[in-house]
Amino acid sequence: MSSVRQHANTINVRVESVHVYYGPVKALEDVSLELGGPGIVQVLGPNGAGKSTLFKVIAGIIRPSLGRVYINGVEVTGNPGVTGRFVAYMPQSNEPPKWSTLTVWEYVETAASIKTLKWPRLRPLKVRDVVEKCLNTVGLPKSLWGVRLSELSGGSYQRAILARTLIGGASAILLDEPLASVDPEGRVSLAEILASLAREKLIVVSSHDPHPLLEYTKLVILLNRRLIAMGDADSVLRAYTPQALYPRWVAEHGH
Amino acid sequence: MATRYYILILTVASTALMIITPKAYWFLGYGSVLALIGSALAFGSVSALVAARGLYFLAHVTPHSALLAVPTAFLVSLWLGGGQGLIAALVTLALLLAAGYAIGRGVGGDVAASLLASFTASSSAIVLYEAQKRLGAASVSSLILGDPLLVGLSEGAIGLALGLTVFLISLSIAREVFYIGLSRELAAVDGLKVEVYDYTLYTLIALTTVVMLGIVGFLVASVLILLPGAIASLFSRGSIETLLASIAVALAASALGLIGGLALNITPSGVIGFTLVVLYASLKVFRVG
Repeated sequence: MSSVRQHANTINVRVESVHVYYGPVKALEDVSLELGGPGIVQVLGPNGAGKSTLFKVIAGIIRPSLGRVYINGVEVTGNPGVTGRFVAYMPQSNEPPKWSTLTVWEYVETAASIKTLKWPRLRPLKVRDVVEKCLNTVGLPKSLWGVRLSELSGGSYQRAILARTLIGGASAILLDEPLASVDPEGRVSLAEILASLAREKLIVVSSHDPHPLLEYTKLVILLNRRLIAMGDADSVLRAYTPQALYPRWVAEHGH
Repeated sequence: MATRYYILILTVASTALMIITPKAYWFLGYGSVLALIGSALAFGSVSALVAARGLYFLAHVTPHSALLAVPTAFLVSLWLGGGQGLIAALVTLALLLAAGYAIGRGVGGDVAASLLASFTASSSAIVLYEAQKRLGAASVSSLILGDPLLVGLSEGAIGLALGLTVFLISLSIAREVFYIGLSRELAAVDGLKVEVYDYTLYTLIALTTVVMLGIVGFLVASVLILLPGAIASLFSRGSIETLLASIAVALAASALGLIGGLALNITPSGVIGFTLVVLYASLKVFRVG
């Protein structure tokens, strides 16, 4: 890999003392971490641990009550427009939206137009090759490109929104529970796609189940409103799970 | 797939019939036909965008704002002078933008729309009573019921011009609005200035409703802003096709409303609304979409 290529795909995400409050509820408390790419990072934690909130803070969608976020040294706190230059974000979404008439192709093409063309974006032909490449990368068959998003299965829908995150060549992709609504066979296939993307990008994935991506994971973060642990998968998972994340369950079941 | 072609045939046939209708009725001018085509263009376009954003409730209460704005504009122009149309448009726009601002600040869409409906309904009761004393009951009832048959040629031309303007603006923002409809947050992360599209859409809804209130009336404006987009969403693919299908549905309903209203000697606005309801129900019964 050339030094230029390395520079283009290297990213540093720094979260500094982030607190997020939803009214009286603490969603995140004094979370600080630093991530570098490429590679896969898994963020694990129970429901309500603040995984989605952490992703939204990094993506700039939520401005933290306290704390700062830096990407490659640039402060991006609460600024999704700037964050979007470095980071693509895929929210947690288990079902395709029933009301939307957007097709798979138009969805990805619109994302590409927004990122590369100026309004009124009358030349979508210019982004055709990029759209095709992204859809092929995520393994969506051509027969589904003209289908409405609302008509896709859960797994195909996840692939379509993953294709959208590949537009624009962001150096990092935040994926909030991307395997949640995918069948076991689809999980393996999607995990392989993510592993292949992680050769060049920082892929941050939240999950309840680390196993499908475990063999490709370089770093595991345990989160339960606070940062519980961070390190390589083997040491973190042996040392901390499940006591740190599921204390009530452990107390009741004795393990 | 076939549904698209049935709708297209229905639209072409009924519009052609509507265009030749003035030859059969001596009292009917081409102003009415132009106004209904303009109304279908405007409502059809806006309705598709409303459906894509899921702003049904907010759109539904917009005619309430227009119903308040039009008599308010009359009273204001009596006391202070100024153009009634401009004042009515500004009042409607201000109310809708206030609701839009509240939504943007995190107030739920349904809550903002409920507040808007409550405020405008209460205010309308007072303002309409005052307007009725000065204008007479007939003018107030025409705002509520609408009467496309009374539209003159110049008013019809204005309606058509507005319809074309709303259509062209909607066409230019449709892809982005549909994209925002999937996830406002993601669109912002992608670098889209979502507030600009939000306020453009609110402005289109307000202008369409206030200008078309006199043509289709308050009651049917509520239906026309909701159902064409909802119907088109049942069978269309993609933003532009949904926009065009929504206009086709609005046009077919307007044409059938005019022809049916004349044939049955009842108000065309009622038939327009009823046609849309029957069309939506039929498509649902036959499990289209």
